[in-house]
Amino acid sequence: MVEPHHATLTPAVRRYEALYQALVFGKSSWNLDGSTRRNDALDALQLGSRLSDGSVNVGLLTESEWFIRSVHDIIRDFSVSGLGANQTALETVAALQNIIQRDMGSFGRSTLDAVQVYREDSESLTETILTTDLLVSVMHVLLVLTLYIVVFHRMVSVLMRQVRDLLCSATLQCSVCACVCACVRDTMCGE
Amino acid sequence: MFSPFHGGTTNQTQTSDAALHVSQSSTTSLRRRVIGALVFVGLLQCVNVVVGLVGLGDIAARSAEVTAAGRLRMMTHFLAFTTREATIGDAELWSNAEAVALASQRVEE
Repeated sequence: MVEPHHATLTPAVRRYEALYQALVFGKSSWNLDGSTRRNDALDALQLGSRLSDGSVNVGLLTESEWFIRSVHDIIRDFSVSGLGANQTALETVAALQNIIQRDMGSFGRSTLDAVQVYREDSESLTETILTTDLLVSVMHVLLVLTLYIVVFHRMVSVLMRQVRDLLCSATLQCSVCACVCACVRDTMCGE
Repeated sequence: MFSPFHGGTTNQTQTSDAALHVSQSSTTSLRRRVIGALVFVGLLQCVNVVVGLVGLGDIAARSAEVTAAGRLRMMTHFLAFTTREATIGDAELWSNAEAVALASQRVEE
């Protein structure tokens, strides 16, 4: 037996609405920060804007509410029985025509544009992060080189001097050690 | 009684003590510098980790946004298709339960 339409469509519509709200205003459990007031192009697309010819674009958020309202109209009117596969009868249903026109028209195109703008925004952020990481890495390399000059180079010099002093002044009892030290001493002390 | 040998030994001892003191001071200074350098390198690595984590989190959030926008686009098509099927209501293609269950499954978070 087919379930009533309202019992199955309603959760999907609610999820759709929740996803839209989360995308625009953020929802931490879905790892969405919300795009409001972050990108002007996205704000104009989602929240609406005034066009150059003086007309007003209401934005995807408002259009999605109209879309959802039409879906609720369908759920309310056809939760028990449908009209059948009759194109003429379907064309008389204003809510369905509204949904189809929005899906095929400006609303559908705008949702596709929104995906593109979100992708470009993501790529822009990725480039910024990569540049920042590059700068941080270069700075770290410079600092490590500075540390080498200030500390490590001096440490090696001090250690070499101590080894040279030890070898040049040592009186070793072991014949092997003495032989090795003599060779090193000849090299380091110039004797 | 003054002894030149005794005085020479004292001077040598004092010179040796002074050299030892300078050497110890130099070693202590060097040790401090090395420890400071190691701590500094450790801090640099911590900065690297923090910067990397922040960048990774930002990129993950933006990727989630792109995914959500794509899902919304898909859901728009799906809802339009499903409402048309609901309006027809003959369950010829598939039942509304199957259609909407699939749509809900696709947008499951």
